[in-house]
Amino acid sequence: MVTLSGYRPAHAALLKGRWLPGELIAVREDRRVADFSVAELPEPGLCDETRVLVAAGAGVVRYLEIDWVDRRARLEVLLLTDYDEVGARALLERALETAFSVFALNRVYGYVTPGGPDVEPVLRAAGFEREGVVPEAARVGGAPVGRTLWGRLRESR
Amino acid sequence: MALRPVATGELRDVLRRITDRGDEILGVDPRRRNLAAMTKRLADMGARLFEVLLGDVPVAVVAHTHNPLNRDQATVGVAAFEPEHAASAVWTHVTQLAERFGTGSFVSTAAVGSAAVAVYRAAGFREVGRMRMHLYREHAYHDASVLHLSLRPGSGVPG
Repeated sequence: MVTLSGYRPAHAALLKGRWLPGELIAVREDRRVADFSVAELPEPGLCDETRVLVAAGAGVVRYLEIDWVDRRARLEVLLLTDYDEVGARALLERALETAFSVFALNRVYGYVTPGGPDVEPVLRAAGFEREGVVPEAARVGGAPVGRTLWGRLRESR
Repeated sequence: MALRPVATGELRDVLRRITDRGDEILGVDPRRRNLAAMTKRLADMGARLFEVLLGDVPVAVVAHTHNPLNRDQATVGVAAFEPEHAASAVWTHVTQLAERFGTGSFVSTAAVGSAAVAVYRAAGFREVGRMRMHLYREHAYHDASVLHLSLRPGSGVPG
């Protein structure tokens, strides 16, 4: 069972790596990141409206751009190991449970970029719905690609 | 119309004029942030703000941030003091970004059915997504429209 706990400075090494910003389910050394310069993920507490939780050995969950009035956040589930559907699903489910039951959010959302692992079955199983495609939202292999927008509401399931 | 950059020292005054009208810009909403928090949020986003002048008269404030994953794309926002000039202000802004920086792709979000959506549509944006229950206004959740404009050759957008 995946357990999420609060971020501590000792977890800083977990944030190091080549993560694709904004990705709903991200892998650590993402080759797509080579196309642009991305700063290391900031430690929580140094940036506004962010919560970071850690699942030992499994991954890191980031809730970004939290709006406590709109009760929503952009979600990133960062996998520390190679992508596997079972692990991704377990961490995502726990991230959603925390978002809706602990943070009392009403909505989480995020993006999926072409060229990565096939996360759509995991997202659909977790109750996410495809809400659109933002054209030219990232560059992969030097070419602009659209990023698919996915959203999950508290009452979706 | 002309764009005048808003200097750091002017930011709070300009934001005060926006918030006095109850407007928001780039999703930064005065109903839930004080001026200091708005200023910090926009700075954290790397936002650039400009006054849009018609002659010497400011008719709107426009703002943008560049997408770090594609520098050719910018997220844009507008707060109009004179709503009839809002679409022209958006168009002036995006065309100047295209001319100065080569930015050819623009994104914005606004509440479905709001005047802002009509403004962006009038400036050539089209809806590419709908974020369900993304906004809480007037005691209810509302969807937000994700709007996109491409100024690349062949995009079919009128100049």
